[in-house]
Amino acid sequence: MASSKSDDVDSTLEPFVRELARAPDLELAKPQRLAPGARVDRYVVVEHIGDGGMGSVYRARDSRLDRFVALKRLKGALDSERVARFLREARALAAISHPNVVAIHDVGSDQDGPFLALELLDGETLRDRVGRGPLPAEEVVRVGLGVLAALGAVHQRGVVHRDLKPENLFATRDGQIKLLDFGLAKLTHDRVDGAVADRGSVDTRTGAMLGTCSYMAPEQVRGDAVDARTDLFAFGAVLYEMLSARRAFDGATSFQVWHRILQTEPPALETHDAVTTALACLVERCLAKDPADRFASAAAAMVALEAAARGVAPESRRLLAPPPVQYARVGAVHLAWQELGHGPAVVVVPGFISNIEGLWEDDDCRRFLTRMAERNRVVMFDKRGTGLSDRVAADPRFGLEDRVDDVIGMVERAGDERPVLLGVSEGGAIVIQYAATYPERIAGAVVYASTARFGGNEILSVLAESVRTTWGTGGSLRLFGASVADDPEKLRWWARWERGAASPGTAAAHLAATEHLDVRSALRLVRVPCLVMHRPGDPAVDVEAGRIIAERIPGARFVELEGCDHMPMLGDWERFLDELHAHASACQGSKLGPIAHPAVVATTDASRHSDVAVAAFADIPSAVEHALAVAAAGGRAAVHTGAPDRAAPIARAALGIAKDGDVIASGLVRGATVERYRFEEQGVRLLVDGAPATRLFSIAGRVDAG
Amino acid sequence: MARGESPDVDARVARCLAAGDDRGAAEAIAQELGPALRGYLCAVLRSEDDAGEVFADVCEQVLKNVGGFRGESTVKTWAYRIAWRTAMHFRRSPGRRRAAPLRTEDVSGIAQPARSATAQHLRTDAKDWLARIREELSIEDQSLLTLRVDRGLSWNDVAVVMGDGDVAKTSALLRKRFERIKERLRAAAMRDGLVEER
Repeated sequence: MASSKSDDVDSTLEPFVRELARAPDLELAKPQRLAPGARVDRYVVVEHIGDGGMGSVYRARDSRLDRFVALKRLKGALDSERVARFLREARALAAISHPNVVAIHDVGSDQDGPFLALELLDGETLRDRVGRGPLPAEEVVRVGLGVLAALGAVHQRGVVHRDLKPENLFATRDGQIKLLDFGLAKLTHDRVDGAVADRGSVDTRTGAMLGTCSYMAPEQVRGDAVDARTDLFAFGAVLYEMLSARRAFDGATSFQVWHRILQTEPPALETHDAVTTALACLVERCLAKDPADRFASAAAAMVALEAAARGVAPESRRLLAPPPVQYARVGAVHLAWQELGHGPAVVVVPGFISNIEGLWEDDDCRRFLTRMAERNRVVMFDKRGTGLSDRVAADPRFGLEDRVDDVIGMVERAGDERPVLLGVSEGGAIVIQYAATYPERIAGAVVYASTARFGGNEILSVLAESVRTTWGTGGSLRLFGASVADDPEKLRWWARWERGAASPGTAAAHLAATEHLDVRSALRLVRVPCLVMHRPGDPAVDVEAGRIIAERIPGARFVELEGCDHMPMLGDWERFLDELHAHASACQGSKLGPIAHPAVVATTDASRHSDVAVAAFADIPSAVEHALAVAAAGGRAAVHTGAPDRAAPIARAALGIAKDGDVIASGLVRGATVERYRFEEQGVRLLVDGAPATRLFSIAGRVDAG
Repeated sequence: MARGESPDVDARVARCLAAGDDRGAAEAIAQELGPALRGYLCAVLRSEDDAGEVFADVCEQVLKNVGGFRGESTVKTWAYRIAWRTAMHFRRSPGRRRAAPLRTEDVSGIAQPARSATAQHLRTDAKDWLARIREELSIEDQSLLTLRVDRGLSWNDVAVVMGDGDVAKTSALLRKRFERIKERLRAAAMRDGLVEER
């Protein structure tokens, strides 16, 4: 040792201390470049064209086929076994023939190690392109589709690229995108299953030291197993960079970058229109921390990217955060309610007790609500006397009327769009009663796991016994969620849910009120489209009861789902949601019905905007035609439907967003005339204090006018 | 001259910085001190792969920060300070999985009586014994030993590298720590029959 501090160490210990302190220098890998004219197998080097994580790349001439290739000489010490393995696997990869994957012409090795002869490309890397600034959305889509096509081909052969980044994507002069180095990052490392193997592309030589770990998926950072979805995370990071010209995850050091990948979301992308908004949603889905929340495959991402190009955003697979609990006053009672999601409105009418806040505590249940909210605007509330609603005493004499009042209040919260009612268990009976009484207020009904008459049902006595003896410990889960009743975690959650829903006395009182429910006489009066669903193994309400409901409601459709759970969010709920969504969509497209609805039109002429005239019409189409005539003359108009005294203030307020020549229509007007006119959505506005928010549309023209 | 020390590096870095060439300065540091820094990282992290990764980050840090280097210490001390901090950061990073975590303070295992059951075996193989002892060293103690004994840094320089704040105080603390390491090492060596009692 050249210099040590021997004065610090006594002679007997000195050899040990020196040995413990020893830290031999470790030489750094130095690039060894081949000179022009050098020969590698049958290739003659023409010039050095670049260095990468794997080695140096040369323009070389294939002396046998007389063509130019990109010759890549791999760096690093490789023993014979690794070389053999590399060659074996690289040859297998060379079999991939895809227009978006750079072609491997040849794989071989000589005394200096293995080499690859690749298709020689003319153009620039995506890194070079991004370096000049963000790409236009249409170019992002074009490049993205090329990358996904390449990834699909690679994944099909069971290979995960694991090092997708702008440096590994090449844009040729003729506009093609090529994926480079696919799978080789994996093959050039011994330990392909470790996090570090995935980080191996950081070049430690000066001049190329700034990190390339910004594209690693969280599972790579953690050293967990990787699969095709790992590449889709990197794809999301590349898309992000193309759209913004900045990295999704960046930092002063790799550690900071890894921390951000694991813990934080990238800064929001700027959006300008439907396409960039949809692209931002797609990027967000790709960058989900949990692989399960990303697209399942490159093909699925491709479909979403094509849709994004048309301005259609992909569904989010992330679990929703609980929306705020709001309170609505219905008569003298405050009802707790939540609103989530987008799409056709669905108001959920709960069973004999409820606890909307408690639903969010279970991940499976949250997943159910998330999926539901991806396709529907959902309004759910706590029944009066339970959950977070006012704890008024249940009165068997008024049970049905009170509950219908609750629904009246909540249908108003759905905005001016006619919702579909989804009644669960006892809520199903309430929906039947409401649909028979107020058909013009809803677009349709779904009755799940219900019966028209609860009294006399043997299960009520079983449930009553459960309330008396085990309430608050999750005991009712055996009736409501039989498939998960043996899961201790679910049991704990359900115990909390029970306690949050009602005290034992309250639960018993509501159960007693349920015994009086009998809506059999209302079944034949239901005139809205109705879907009835039931699980055959439901121990709480026999499937036969569901069949009877469907038979007696005119035109109702019955769907027998699989499973045994009484609560829809437990067990296998995919089909339940599919059926619900399909029914809600079909109902929303239907007409208002045979009743002529009054409407009002608020107008101003082109020269005197301060003078607003309001006119009432007996039906909506007449009102719209009047509005269009005013607009054609250069004025403005807004149309809303309802009793004139209630509709007029909303129409007046909606007029505020109209420009000269515009007709603004409320969602209800659109629902009634969607087959006659073309509409463009203008967003949701709170037009009048105390009234529900109104979804507004502009009328773009008549359907028959093209 | 201590290992890994180049008489040229301070001058090269100074010249580059004077010309505003941060990249050139960083390259000079990597070329002159790179192998020594990487060896040091390998010693404290006990993994060549981890050392390689952390070294990449050290290079990043050098490149980002060399423009602010004003000669408060030698380039070598400055670079070891970056290497030490980066290694510590790596130890705490969530993505690090491979090496088992090191105990940062408790090195008493070196002299634990419970280990005496293996003394006979260790006595026959000093290399194994040393390997075992090395495993028991905390990252701080390994760094202290390597910087002081193998790299030959002065106590003040070791304090600059590993400490934060008052160099004189840190230097004194590190000296004491060094003494404790030796005492434990001596006790373990005597217990296992590698040295005789004085």
